[in-house]
Amino acid sequence: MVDPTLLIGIPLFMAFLIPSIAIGWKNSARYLAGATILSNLIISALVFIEAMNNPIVSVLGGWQPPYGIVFIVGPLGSMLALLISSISMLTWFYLPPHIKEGNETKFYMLFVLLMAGATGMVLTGDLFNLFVFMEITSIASFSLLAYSRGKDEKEAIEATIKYMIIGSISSAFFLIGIALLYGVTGTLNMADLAARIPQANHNVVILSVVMIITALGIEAEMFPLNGWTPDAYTGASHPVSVMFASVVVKAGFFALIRVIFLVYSGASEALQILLIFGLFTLFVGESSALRQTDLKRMLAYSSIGQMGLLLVAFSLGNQTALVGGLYAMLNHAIAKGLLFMAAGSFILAIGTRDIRALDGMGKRMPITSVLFTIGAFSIMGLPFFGGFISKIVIISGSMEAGSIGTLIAILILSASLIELVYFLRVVHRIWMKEPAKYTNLKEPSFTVTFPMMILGAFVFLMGVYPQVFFRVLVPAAQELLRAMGGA
Amino acid sequence: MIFYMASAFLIAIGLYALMAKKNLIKMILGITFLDSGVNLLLISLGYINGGTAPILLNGVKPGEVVDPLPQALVLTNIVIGVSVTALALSVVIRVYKHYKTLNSDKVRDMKW
Repeated sequence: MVDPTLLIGIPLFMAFLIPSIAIGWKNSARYLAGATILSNLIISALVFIEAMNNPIVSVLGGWQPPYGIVFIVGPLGSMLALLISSISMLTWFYLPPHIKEGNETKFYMLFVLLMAGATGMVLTGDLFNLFVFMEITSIASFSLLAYSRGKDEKEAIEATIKYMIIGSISSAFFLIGIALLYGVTGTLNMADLAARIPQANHNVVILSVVMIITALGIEAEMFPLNGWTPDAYTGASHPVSVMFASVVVKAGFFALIRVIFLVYSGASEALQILLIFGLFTLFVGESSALRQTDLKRMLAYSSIGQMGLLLVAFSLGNQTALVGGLYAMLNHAIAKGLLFMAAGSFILAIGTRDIRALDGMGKRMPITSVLFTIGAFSIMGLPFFGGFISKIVIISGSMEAGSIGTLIAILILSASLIELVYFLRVVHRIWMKEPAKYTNLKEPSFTVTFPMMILGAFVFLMGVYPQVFFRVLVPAAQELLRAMGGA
Repeated sequence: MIFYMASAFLIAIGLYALMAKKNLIKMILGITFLDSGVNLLLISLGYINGGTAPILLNGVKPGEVVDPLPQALVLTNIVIGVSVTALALSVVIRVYKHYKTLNSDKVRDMKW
């Protein structure tokens, strides 16, 4: 029996310890952070194996639920915790060339803090605790976003102030929503809340759901609340963009879905709201990506589009669509992380974010280019890659939803077509065009390409052996559906 | 009731400042107003007229005490609010360093 509390406790304690030790022992920050992330990876793997059989319930501070804070770790939460710690570990390998300047110690401290906050968001079973972890994640990501140095600093600061103001509004709205829910049900424990929602005042529940959708929609890049997203992804240093796309936004999205499913029995309209906003997000994201000339900005808009796809999949509310949505979530976390890593390597080598400068990169940096192409193919949804399976499952899930489902399937397919166009444009430039200038480019070192190779292998594995992942995702989807039933 | 109205008023002031003001410092003040409004809302949820502290001694019955949970939440939220405000102000200092202005309309290099 491994206590899932360790997943939060160790990183929080180490985030406090890293700057203290670094006073006496320079350059220790990187290794301490690495050890912390490794321990999280091992613990989350152990928790994952155990939670697959039966959920782990961990009571904090000896106060029994529903009064105290409790962690209820099922297949879904433990899978996401494992995903978060694996992505953090791979990003840790990828980091060194991207943070040469500036104060390393602070960066690693915030990095560990970010991981702790996101892990807490997916594990906690208490609504206010969710808010606290969301704030930890936000504060760490504001500071990491402002970390860029050199010529990107101005953009990073602009993005930070935008994200910070909208993030503070988000947290205030989330707290209003929590306060209203507490007012009508008298509990903050999620399981207890789901049971008491049907007796609660419907109007107040709807009001609080609107507040919470607004608040967490900001974190989950939902249109029209995603104004911060492209700036943040563009301004952030490359490893931070990876963490944003694969960890922060996923945790925010998961929190949104969890709260909506919890109060579903009292406010079933919420899923329809999400469906409509999801379709908008999908199309606005994809069509904005189409007209970008900036590589990272294009990836950011593509990320918005993918979050729209996830919103659509989850708001369909049947088991097939949920499995597809979770598959897409996993695929997007892995493939978009890979894309941001590869894009970061390109940009570091050529010194510009312009897509037109990528001509002929396939001949100059073959390994990175192949990995970028794998990521792009997976997001597009070509066969043999994870994105294909996720889209097929989502579409068959939407077909189950009746006549409106067919329309949704058509919309998803046409959005995929837009996706295909803009990704193929980049891939075409990389492979087909003659190399323009930049004669002395070389591949980044092995520690940088190695995490990308692992992510690429996973994307491929997800496309070829989907059964392995379904064995985890089907129980996870059932767990969500049970929450929806008000169990 | 008056507490709920006051909290709604504070939240409205905060949102107004965020929407209408151009100065970044004033926008951050708006955020703190928003925070105080939410804190007041939380506190008034657990408030009972004439209730005492939630210590069940000397024949105090559960119905006569104020709800202690919202107070714990507010305490946490105050700490979070302070740290966010401090961080936001330090970011504003760096905005000023780069843009030489606090006008949020002029801090706009990045577009769609």
